[in-house]
Amino acid sequence: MSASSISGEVRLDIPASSAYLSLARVATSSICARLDFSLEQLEDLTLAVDEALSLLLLDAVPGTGLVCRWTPGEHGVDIAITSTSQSGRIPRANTFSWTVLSALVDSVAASVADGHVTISMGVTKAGAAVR
Amino acid sequence: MTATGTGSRWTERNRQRERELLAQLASLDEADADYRRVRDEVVTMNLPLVEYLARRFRERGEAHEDLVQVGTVGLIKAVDRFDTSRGWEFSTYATPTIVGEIKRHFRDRGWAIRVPRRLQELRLQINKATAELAQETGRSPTVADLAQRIGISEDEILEGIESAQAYSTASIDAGSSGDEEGGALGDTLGSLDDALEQVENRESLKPLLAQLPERERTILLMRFFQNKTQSEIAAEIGISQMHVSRLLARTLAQLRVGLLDEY
Repeated sequence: MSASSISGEVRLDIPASSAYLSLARVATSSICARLDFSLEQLEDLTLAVDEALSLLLLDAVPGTGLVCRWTPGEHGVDIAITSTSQSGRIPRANTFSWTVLSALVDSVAASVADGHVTISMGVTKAGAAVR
Repeated sequence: MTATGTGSRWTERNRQRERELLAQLASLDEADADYRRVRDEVVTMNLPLVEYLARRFRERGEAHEDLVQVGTVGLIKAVDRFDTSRGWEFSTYATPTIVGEIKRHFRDRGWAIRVPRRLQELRLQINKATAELAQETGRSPTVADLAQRIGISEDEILEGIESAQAYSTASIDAGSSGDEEGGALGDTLGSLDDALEQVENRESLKPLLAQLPERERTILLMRFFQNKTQSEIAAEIGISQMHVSRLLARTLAQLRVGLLDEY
């Protein structure tokens, strides 16, 4: 009954501008729907990508790009979004945005390397394992 | 009992009762214990009108219960604004207000006119099947579940979902007018204060949250601080899960605009 016709990483490079948020949303919905997520989880995932991108945009160097990566796994998906950071710092974990992200996905973490900040999120399919 | 007037489903006795209630309401102070009771009765009496008007918008890709829900908001506004001294029939006065709310819902949704009819119908089928399957299985369906139920391919289901995602962007990115009045869900500000305890920028958040309609604030609190699922919230508030999702997206977008110092 699996709808999975996707395996392997999907990558999307977009300019660091809020105009491209909708593209990342549609990609998230499309990719994760093919991975057999429920509609409700799809909507949470879309909100999470929206929130993570918006957060990274606040500190992105103008004129640079954002890289979104979706990596399907057996039980779910990992999503990583990387920006070129002005401050070279990761987003603070006690902000409202971070609270929102934490509620939408199973795991969320931020890391920094060479001026690039990455937000990584992991979500398990509702039926797949203990949530 | 016979109905009077052309096309009216109402008896003269109903009409009489409604006039009495509206007159009574006009004389009561809002703080009066009877005010709420009388207002509720007028609203309840007129729910069939909302049902009727909501049905005029069927087959436009929105769940009927969502249209009834927003239409009822319009009805409540009409009750609160009705001026008995003008001598109008209440239904004459309320109809444009209710229809206005429903149309605004479509406008906020951002796709009433622009989505091709085929996709609207597909979306409606998906909405219907989603509700049915959720009812039967107690969980949100997957694309494969929906394809099987409707009897079309998974790709077609995906097209329907993706089109909804794409068309909803206008309303999400544009924010909202923010003047929607919330329902009587109890004051959620106090509990939000507790929930926000750990959030660093709560002082800049508070005024933004205070501006939100009560329902949006409640949904936000339930989803992000009480970690309830969209379905659980939908069941508690009495709207569809898709409507919850939409309100969350809109509310987050609104807050984001006000919270530019988040990083």
